[in-house]
Amino acid sequence: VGKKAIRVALSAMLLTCSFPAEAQQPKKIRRVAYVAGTAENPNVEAFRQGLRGLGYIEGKNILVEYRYLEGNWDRVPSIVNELIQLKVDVFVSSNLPTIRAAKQATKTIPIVIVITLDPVATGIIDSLARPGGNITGVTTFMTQLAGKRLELLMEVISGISRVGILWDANSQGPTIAFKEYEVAGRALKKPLQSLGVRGPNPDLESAFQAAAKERANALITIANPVLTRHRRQIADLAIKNRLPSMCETRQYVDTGCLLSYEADDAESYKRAATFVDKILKGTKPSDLPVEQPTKFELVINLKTAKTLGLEIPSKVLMWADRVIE
Amino acid sequence: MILWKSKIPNLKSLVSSLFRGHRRGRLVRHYFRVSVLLIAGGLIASGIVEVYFRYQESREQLAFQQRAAATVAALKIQTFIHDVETAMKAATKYQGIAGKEIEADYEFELKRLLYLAPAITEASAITVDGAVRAQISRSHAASSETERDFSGSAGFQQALQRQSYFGPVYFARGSEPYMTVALPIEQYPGKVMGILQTEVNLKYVWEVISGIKQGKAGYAFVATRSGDLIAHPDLSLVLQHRNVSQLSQVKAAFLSVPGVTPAKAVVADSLSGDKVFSSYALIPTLDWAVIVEQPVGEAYEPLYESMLRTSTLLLVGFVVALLASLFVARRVVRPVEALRKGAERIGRGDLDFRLNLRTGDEIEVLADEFNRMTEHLRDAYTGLERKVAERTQELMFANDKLAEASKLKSQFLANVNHELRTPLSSIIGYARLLQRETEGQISSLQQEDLQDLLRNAERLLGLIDSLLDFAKIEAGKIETVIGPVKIDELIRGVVAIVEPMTNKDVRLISDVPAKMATLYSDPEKLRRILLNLLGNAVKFTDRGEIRISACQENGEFKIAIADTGIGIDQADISRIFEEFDRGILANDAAYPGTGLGLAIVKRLVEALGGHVAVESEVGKGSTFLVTLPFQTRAVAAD
Repeated sequence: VGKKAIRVALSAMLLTCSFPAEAQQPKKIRRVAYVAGTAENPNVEAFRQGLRGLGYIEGKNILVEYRYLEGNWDRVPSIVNELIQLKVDVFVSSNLPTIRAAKQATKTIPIVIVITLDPVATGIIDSLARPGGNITGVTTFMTQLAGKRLELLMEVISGISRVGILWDANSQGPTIAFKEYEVAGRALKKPLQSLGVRGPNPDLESAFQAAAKERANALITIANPVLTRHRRQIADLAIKNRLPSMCETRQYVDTGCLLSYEADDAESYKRAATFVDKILKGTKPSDLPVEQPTKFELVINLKTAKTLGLEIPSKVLMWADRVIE
Repeated sequence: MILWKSKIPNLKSLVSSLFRGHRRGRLVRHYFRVSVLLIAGGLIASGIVEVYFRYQESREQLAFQQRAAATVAALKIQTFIHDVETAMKAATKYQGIAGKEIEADYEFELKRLLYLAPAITEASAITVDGAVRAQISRSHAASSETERDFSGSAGFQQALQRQSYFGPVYFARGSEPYMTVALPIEQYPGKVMGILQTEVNLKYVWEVISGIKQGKAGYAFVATRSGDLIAHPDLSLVLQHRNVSQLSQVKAAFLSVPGVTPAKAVVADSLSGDKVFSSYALIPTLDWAVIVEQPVGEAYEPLYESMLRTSTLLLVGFVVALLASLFVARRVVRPVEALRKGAERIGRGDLDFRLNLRTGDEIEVLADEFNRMTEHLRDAYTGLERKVAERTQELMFANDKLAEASKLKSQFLANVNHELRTPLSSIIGYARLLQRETEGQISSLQQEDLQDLLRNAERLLGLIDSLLDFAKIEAGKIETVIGPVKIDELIRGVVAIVEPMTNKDVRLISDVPAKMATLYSDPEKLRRILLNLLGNAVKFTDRGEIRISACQENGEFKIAIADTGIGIDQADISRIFEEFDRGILANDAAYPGTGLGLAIVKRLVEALGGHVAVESEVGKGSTFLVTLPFQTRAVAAD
């Protein structure tokens, strides 16, 4: 009995001693990959804020591997492979080619998407409620707002005869979005003019010249990393060509675009951070439905309106969430 | 501390003595058991009652708090829906409604409505025919819906009846919960000129629900009667379109009748399968229920803490009571134990021991009485010892006298042997010599006289021999010499000696089997016994027969000597084995004797471990039966 008691006591001591040792072991720093089209996207900061709000401090308890494509679409496979080799815990991306490449490259690493397109229609997930596989995230349904943007543009400018659609013809996302605009144009009985541009340094001058040639009297710019980097030039050319422009993100309005109507992107990227948090805490991506935006934001640049000699109707102004004077 | 440590060994010895299994600790054990039973029973009973009532109170309080939270949440949701309804009602009262129909500029009111009510994602103004007159959406252009005919929809029909319509929850794109709300647009009360229909995103209810906290892990959720989850802190569950109708708390909520059935708290399984304490509040206008639940572990945490506290206090109380009981037991039992030990010492003969108990109670009185009793006992014992010494001294004196008497007796017997036997032997010798020398020289009368002289001298010598034998027997000087005895040979020898003395009319029959087992006994003593008995038979039998028989039965050896002599009177039978007692023959010259023969037989038979008995009838004869143990060699050797 005595020996048994001694054995039990020693085991208890060993166990007791093992706990502090275990507690002293540093927690594993989780690694997250974040791939975006351009570093100029302010939503990166929204994502960071989201992480910070959930208690993650970069470099301390989380490492985020940021990668920006900046129009170099051919880099997508190598970036995806590199990040998979790094054995990241979660893969975050807002870029359709990257999301597709990551989906193809891994079935185990969770992928959190912040997508402007319909993820079901693009074949990324099975359904919003049960995405299936290793992908989940947020959709901003930016392309779904094509009709609403065209409608708003028509409310601002009466007598629009033709609307030019400026888009990056080299990218997958804008290609899908352009089709949405075509559907909306047919529904609202408004002819559209495709102003497709290509390459990291697109020939915007020619595009605007084509618009002028076709007598387009309004412009819609489909946002993508390439055009975002040239947004100021686009705004300047629009003013120069006296084209009232509807853009997809408020970044463009800040640099001179007349209007933007979008879901609250910053909120979407903060929500993406909560998805990362849930996944790091053990929730399976397939158990997390893809969330949709609830708030939409209309931003009007009255300065541009004044430059163009436009008077924004009060019923549209009333609708605006933010006005730049 | 030092005092306490010094008490520990005593305490340990007391406790160990309690559980020793012998008689000494019975009183302490008994006292201890009774104390433990009473104290533990009382404490446990009071503890259980306390815990039970605390459990009930905690449960009621928890249920009350949860119901309050659920009611507040229900009110907030009602307020949210009411705000939507109010905003919609405001939109139905626009300035341009003076006309008979809804105009296209009603779109402005719809925009204002969407601005005021962020949860409304889409609003439509519908004519009484079901055609869309104006429409606005947050996400798509209006033109796509304007062709749609609403006249068949439930919302349209109910609103047409001037009733607000709150439709069933549906999930847009299979994910987000929405609800259709419809109100009549009235030109004036009673005059419906159109319907205002909106689509309300119920994700906003999630904001209401997320704000409700119940403890650390408690939460609230909202479900419809059909079990559709509308709002839950884990938005994923709502977006997954989870149905919670199988949860017992949801069933309980919708089984109750508002205002009739009191809301009841239940312990049930949550969606994640954990046990939760759950309460609810109904939203009758929407037929929804707000369910507030909290993990049982957390909900009962204060109760568990309280129970732990109560248990700890009970345990401490129990230990203190136990120690007190031990202390009291020692106080009560120790004097009793001292009393017992004192009695034990006195019982062992230590009459000088005195109990010294100063308890000031009945035990002290008892100890004093015990001491007095011991004092008396010691006095009595001392007197008894003195008397025993006196008596012993007297006895020793008497013994000395007896020894002297015995010495004198032995001396007398030696004298008898020497002084009587020697001259008598000379007389007999001379008489025989004279008889032989004078044979034929003296007359026959002188011959007879000489014969008488010789016979009487021999009788006297026999008497003296018997006396000496008996004296030896009486003095306990019989020494048996055990050896193998062939009984048939012994009897034949004895019969041969006795046969010449028998009367001619008497037949002496020896009825002894030819080969009998060897008896281990003293052959000389046995021979003497048989000679005495046969001699008597010959002496008292004038005719008939004398039969000597022997047999072995039941581990005993029996020898019977039966005669057809004069017999013995029944009155004398009991005395014939006593020395010098010859009964009615005492003065009968025809049957001379010393009265020692049968007495010697009896002593010798007894010395051989047997017994002798007699049956007799006057005039018919006597039978003497000698019974001896049939000893084997081994036993005899022992």
